[in-house]
Amino acid sequence: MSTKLPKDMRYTQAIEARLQRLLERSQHDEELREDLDWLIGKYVRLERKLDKISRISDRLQGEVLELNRQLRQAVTTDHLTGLLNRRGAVERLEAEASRAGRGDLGFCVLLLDLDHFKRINDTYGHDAGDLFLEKIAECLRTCLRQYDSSGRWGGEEFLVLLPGTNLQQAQLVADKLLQAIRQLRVPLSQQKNAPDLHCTLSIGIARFNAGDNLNQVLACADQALYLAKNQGRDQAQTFCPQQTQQALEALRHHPCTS
Amino acid sequence: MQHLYIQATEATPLIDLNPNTPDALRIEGESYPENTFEFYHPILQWISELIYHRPASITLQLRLFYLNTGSIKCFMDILEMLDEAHHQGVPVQVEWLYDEDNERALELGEDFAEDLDLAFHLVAQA
Repeated sequence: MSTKLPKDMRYTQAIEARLQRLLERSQHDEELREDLDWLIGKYVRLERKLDKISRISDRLQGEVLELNRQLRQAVTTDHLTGLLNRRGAVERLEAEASRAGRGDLGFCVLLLDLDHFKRINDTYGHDAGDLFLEKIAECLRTCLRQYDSSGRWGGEEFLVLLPGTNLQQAQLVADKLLQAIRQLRVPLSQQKNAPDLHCTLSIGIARFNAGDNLNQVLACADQALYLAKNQGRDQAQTFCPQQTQQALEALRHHPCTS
Repeated sequence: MQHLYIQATEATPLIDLNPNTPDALRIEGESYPENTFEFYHPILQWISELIYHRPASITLQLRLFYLNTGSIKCFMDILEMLDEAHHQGVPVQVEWLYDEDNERALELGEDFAEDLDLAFHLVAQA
């Protein structure tokens, strides 16, 4: 009769010592030995069951986490362009704002609006408009750094967030974007003789420094965008408190046609 | 024996255990009840009683999605009981139904099937 414990049994040293003693003592006691074998068998099965429950539970939890991740991504992504949607962009802005510490560069916000985009929609239909917006998004992704963020802020309005950037650097990025969009041509393959779609961009730039109010910074970028629109479009304007106020004041007296 | 029928809720599966059709027992849905063992106690009892009556054969159809850990334990208890019935000579079948494009659901079924001797069929559904 064997006095060895089964190999696939896990136990603490204390349990092992006691079981070993019982096994040895049961060598000459058939009944005790039977009960002991039964209990050991039961114990091994329980251990296996526990392993199996944990494994299945882990698998399901992993699935829930993955679904959660997908859901989170879905509610912060713009379905058409794959960029952040407004909610996603706001979350990113808030995260960046709370990260910005005193003395560091803060970040710049660019509000982008396509010039006369309505014409594309009106002339070639919304599918063409949507296609064009997708291409714009692609263009933004190509022009920006990996750690910059871009989102669809509204219908044809986009937001770009440039971490660790001052206004001069943001202006360079804006110039790059203006040029890229100016050169962008989107062919309408389904419509014969239709010209390639193209469009220009107006951009308003504002900077967030530690301690600033995020909504105010966004309002500043919006004012700068308004200025860019009114000074002829296809350009970027930077928000500087005095200059922008003066320019906006002047516009109130001599508004240009939209 | 009575027909044990419990409608599905957001957190509990449909239970359809009819003693007149032991070849078409069904449990289907999500399972994360607040008190899992209370919910499954009558189900375990029902199955144990069915086995006691030694029906000609048993088929249990499972179509399960999310299970909390307590539910996993209860389903393993159910399967263990059925496996024992199988060892006692009752022909037992478990059909694990899953969406054909859900690989995780298939793997989950494979996990449950492990260590069982009864006939455990993984059935893909379109």
